[in-house]
Amino acid sequence: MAESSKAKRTRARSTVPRKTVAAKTGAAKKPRQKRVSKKISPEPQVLQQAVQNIPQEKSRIEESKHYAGPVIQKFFEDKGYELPAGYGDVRITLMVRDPYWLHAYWEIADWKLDELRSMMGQDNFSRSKKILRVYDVTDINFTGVNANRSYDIDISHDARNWYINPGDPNRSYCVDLGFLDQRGKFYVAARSNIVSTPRDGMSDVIDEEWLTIDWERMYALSGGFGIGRSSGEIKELLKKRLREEMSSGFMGWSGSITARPEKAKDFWLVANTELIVYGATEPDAKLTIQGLPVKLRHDGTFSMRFALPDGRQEIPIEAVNKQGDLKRSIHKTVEKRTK
Amino acid sequence: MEKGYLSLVLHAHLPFVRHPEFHDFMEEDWLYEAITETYIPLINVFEGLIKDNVPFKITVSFSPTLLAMLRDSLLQDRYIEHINKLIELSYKEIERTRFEPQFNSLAHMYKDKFENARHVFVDKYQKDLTKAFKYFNDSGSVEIITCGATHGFLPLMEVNPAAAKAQIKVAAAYFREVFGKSSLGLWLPECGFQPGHDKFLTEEGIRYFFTDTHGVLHASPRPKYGVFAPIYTKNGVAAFGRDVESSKAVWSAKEGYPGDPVYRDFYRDVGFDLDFDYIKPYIHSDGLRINTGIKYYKITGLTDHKEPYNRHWAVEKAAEHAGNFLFNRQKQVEFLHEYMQKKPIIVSPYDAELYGHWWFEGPDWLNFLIRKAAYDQDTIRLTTPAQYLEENPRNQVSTPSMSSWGWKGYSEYWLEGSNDWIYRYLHKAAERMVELANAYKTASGLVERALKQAARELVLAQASDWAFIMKTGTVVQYAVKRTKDHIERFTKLYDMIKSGNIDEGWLADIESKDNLFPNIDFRVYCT
Repeated sequence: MAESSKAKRTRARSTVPRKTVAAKTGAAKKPRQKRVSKKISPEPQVLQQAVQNIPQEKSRIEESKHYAGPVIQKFFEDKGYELPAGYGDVRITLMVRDPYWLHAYWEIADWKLDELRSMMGQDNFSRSKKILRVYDVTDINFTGVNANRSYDIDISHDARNWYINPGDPNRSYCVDLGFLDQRGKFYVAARSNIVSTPRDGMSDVIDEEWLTIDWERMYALSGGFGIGRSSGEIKELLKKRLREEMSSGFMGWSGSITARPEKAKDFWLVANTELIVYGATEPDAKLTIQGLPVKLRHDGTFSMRFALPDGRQEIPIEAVNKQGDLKRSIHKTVEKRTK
Repeated sequence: MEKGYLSLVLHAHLPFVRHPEFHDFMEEDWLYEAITETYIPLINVFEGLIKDNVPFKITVSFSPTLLAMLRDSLLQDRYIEHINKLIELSYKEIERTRFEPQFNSLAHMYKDKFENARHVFVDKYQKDLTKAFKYFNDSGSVEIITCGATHGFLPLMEVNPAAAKAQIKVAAAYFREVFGKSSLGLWLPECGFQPGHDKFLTEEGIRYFFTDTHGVLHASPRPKYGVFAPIYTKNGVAAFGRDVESSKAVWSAKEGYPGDPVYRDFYRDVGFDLDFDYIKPYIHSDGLRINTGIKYYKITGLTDHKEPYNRHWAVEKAAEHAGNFLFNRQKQVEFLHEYMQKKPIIVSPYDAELYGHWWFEGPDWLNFLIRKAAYDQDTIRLTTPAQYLEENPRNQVSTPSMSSWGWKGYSEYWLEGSNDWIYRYLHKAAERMVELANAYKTASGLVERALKQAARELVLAQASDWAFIMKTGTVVQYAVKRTKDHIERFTKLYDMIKSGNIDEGWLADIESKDNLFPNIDFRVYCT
């Protein structure tokens, strides 16, 4: 375990399964995802647990759309465009995922690496570590040296993005991507935008004009979980709900493609029966089956298809000629039993 | 005199899916199904209420992409083809189920439903359902509001606020184009709120938006009334927080109404159940079995053995559930009124497509609920946020917390291992769009056309749906392709505009494909 001059950090790889996307294309090829957590953070377990908690129902509905179908393939055959691996930028961009996690992606163009290499010296550069230095810049005008605190994350050389877990909600952060040499000197390649994480509970700020006697109770009531529960309990329930309830546009109609729920058993059989009654008469005759009129084809033929349930079906077929003075009838009885 | 308010909000959204280059494109079915199963049933409910002079208030948000599709003549004509085939199938089903009365009556029900859909679509509204909603909006009972231009998830655009601002400005302008007036409110896509974006809403004259429960509850300073009163942001826009209890009653897979055994089962569809040769003309043209919309079974229970659906019992149950919902809201409001010494507002937002498409009896439930609210009680009055604000103009000033109504309440659904790769491209494109808009502010003619198309491609790439699909793992390939296509088209336009060498033939081709927002103003990206 390497030690930075700033702080010791343990590295924890998340076991949350990750999908890779469109591995064929250069740009969409994903660098390995890692979550690096500080020791104090309780979050990885919570997050993993949450991932496992995605309700069965939801997964089932979602999976029902997997199959894209043969005709769609034509749509995908056009492989003209590959996203570029980069834009020749020197940049790191920070985004907020939730109160505890940030995400950074970056691009350091070759010219910048060359510049750093010559500044640091080839040997020094190649023995240096690529790190993310995470600064807490809450309520300050960050100059690069006045952060409230900071810590380093070792990252692999080929990584292009990272999930960062500074842990504290309702704080502002900035991240430098750079190289830490063996003497502990840090060379910045790019500095990110500043982002603020949301708070994960009630605000500490109270407006005197809008006071209430029991904040916890109002919080509880807004959570809708009944009266008299402690706020801790309510927060848990609220969190639980947030995890369980994934309410979004696609839920309502996502079953529309191959919408079969999975069969509970490995092997199954379904058999149904239908009955086809067909025949012919004079093209201008009037025909009824079970007393209901049937439309004849131009040549006088007809064909009817019926779902055939168990039991006995009486099927009288009657034809009357155009003049209405001649009549023919056939009576069929069909019996079906299922064992 | 009422003791509180109930604000029902339906959010209608579909991503822009329109492929003139293919005759039978499966993802377009999303729209056709939603028209038959959700939008037309809702139109029928609202028309009925207005016809019967039932006093009611409800809010419906429409994403601009959905409005654009509803107004698109190609998709309109394709819908007519679609519904005609369903009508044909329903006639065959009436014949086929003759020996089975319980199914036969359902076949008749579907025939009536599909014929009614065609009637409403073709005869009443001349293929353009936005006319229906304009009529409702003008009637005053239904408050129609806008959303983000393409349902882009705004908090993840924070690195370049001009991108978020443009999503809002384009949406607000398109709303005025369709409905002839300004939108009073805005449904933030996925309820994704980022402090600071409220300023963009103010600029468009938008008076309110919604957040999930914790958006308001974790606002600062502490909101005195929790989620039962709106708060004003510093920019003077009101934020309404979602009520948990009423949400759960409908949304929850376990405890929610839609899971009741007598309701219609979503999965058992004749598209899968019937003999291939028979059903072939009504499924995908390549023989892939898909849902047709004709479903004969009820949920029954946790079993593979499904019982036939009984419409009568299901409607009874919907009425019962509406009564139950209203009763619970009355109790909630009575208690809160006493506790707060003020009339609480219960905000209950749902995805519109839940009603009818997923929960077949949802529109019936809504109809019963609104009628019962009007005639069976006077504890609660239905309201819309705009009306509430008119009657209750004094509210606490507080900044909502960044939040969304997605899984876990923040941005994770749209920012995780499956989809995080898209943001470097989306952000770059947005940055370039700002650069173009600033540099070519005064452009006209072909350059302006190219700039407008670049703005369209950017907003299409930003649709939250693509990241969402990548995460759900459903039609991932399609979502990846759409993201790449729009980025590609954007990049090509960017290069052409910069080099002064615009290929007009190619531009005309993508203008005809990605044809939404004909009057889009690329200058919304100027900084």
